[in-house]
Amino acid sequence: MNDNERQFEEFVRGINFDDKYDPVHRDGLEEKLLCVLSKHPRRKWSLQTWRILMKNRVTRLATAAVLLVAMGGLLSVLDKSAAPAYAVGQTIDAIRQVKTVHLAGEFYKQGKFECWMRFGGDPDRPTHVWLGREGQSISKICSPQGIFGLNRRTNWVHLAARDERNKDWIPKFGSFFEEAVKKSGTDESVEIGTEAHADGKVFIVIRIKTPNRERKFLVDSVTKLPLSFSTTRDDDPMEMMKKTLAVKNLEWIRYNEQPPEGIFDMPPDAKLVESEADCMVDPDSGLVVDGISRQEACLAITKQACQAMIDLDVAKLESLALFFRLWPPEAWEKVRDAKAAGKWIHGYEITAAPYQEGDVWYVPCLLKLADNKTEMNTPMIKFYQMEGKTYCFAIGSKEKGIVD
Amino acid sequence: MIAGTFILRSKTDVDEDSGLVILARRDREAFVQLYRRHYDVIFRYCVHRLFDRAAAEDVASEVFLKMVENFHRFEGTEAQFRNWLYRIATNAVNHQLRRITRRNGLLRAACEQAGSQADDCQESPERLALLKEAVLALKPRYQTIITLRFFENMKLNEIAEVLGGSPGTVRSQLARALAMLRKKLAAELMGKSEVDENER
Repeated sequence: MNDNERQFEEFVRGINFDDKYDPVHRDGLEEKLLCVLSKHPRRKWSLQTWRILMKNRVTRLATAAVLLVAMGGLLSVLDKSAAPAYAVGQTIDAIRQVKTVHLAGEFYKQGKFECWMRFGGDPDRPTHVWLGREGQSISKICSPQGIFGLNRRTNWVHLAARDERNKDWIPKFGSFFEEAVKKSGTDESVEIGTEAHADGKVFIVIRIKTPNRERKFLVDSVTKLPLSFSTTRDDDPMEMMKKTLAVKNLEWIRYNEQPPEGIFDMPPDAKLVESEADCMVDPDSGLVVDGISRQEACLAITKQACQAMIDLDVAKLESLALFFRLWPPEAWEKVRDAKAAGKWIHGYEITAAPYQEGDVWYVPCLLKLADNKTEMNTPMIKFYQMEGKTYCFAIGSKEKGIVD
Repeated sequence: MIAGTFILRSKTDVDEDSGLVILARRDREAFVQLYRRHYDVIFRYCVHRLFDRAAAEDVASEVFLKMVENFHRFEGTEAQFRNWLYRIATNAVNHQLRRITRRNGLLRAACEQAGSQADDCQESPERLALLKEAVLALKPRYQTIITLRFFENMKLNEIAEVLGGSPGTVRSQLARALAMLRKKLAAELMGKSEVDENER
């Protein structure tokens, strides 16, 4: 070992590095490996499934965030001990008995959603989660079969990376109230009262006020379970926009309903796809490119997408380019403002012929912005066969990567 | 979050016998034994490459599932089995790093468009952050060599077995990688006065 090596070794020796494995992960993986070996020792499908399963962890955000926010807001209801007699014990006990939760609400960024959760004896750990967004055919599902995105329109399934249900950062449904009470903050004011509805029922109403926002929670006075929450004032929505899946409102929360049959199951005839982008496409969008070459198709979709950018044709952009489906309404508002101020894209130039790398194509393109500024953008284009036709989609770009 | 104490370790003790590998194909307990003997080392390798426990768990899962997928085709001793796992892990880690780069780009772009700043990156402890930045700036092959040499404590010929190629090639690549790291970590590797002296 020379001096360089000795110096570097000394350097790394002094570094704190948490590299001890988590036995929970090791044992969980062991179980899966044995399952794969014993149930389908030679079947390609199963092995492929597991391979894909371990690739992506996007849906953990979905499941976790829904749990987090659905619970999170409610937790803060009792951050203060303003109504200890009502709050803590009764609500905690009630929540511990819950077998299923069914809720509908609205994300700050992604719009309206609906979610189901099922608990198998331990309310701290959901065994099943289903999350769907209004107007979208894609749902995210977490079940003992795995974590996957299902496109009901195409019946295509994308398996995600891993089961996140045992991770510490997922809120403990059964004990979250108790923990929240222990963490009571100092910058919130809590008002607790009652509200009588037209049908004669009386609900407990809790209002939480912080400098930037006010939220209202409705709690069942009989079961003591939270029924809804809404953001009644928000002076800084951008703060919440920074969070991946922050919930603005929960229109309703229902407990112990029977989930629809098969809602957590992977359809037996579903087609497994490699990447999440593959799961996002459907024959109601994209560009039909039958009868023309791949190169011509790449040029066509690039030109159409660029023109849609110039025209700010949001529907067309979302149809052709998956990346734009991730943009929240507020981002579009900013773009509209930029366009009105003459600072948006006003032209484009395709600078080289389309070329292929693996199963995707690229089209080098120069976007022209205000003040003679330019930006290189190379759409990543992929072709799909659906319902007997060939479609292409921009699934990402060379510069920004694939949509996943 | 990286925390705790890093200790240089010797590589997993694996014998040159292929008995356990052969037995593991048909015996559940032998398979579990084989898996448990290698899980730790592969997980640590992934953590040292990725600087991220959660990502390392993902990649370790991918490695072992890939192992199961191809296990019936593997023939060799347990030491070769370990090297095979390292190769799978190296490919998976490199793929993961590419994905992280792409994802960060996407997040930044989306946040910028929304008029906010990405806040997903957390500050690591200074020294670790420095190492992370310096190592991740290297070519993937150099990253692998550095990790296997200094974190997995492998000899040059063992690294050559994992990566393919000769020990001589690995030696020269290691020297180049260290030279690059030395530039980036100069102030940490040497005292400030030494740096100044060298610059003079």
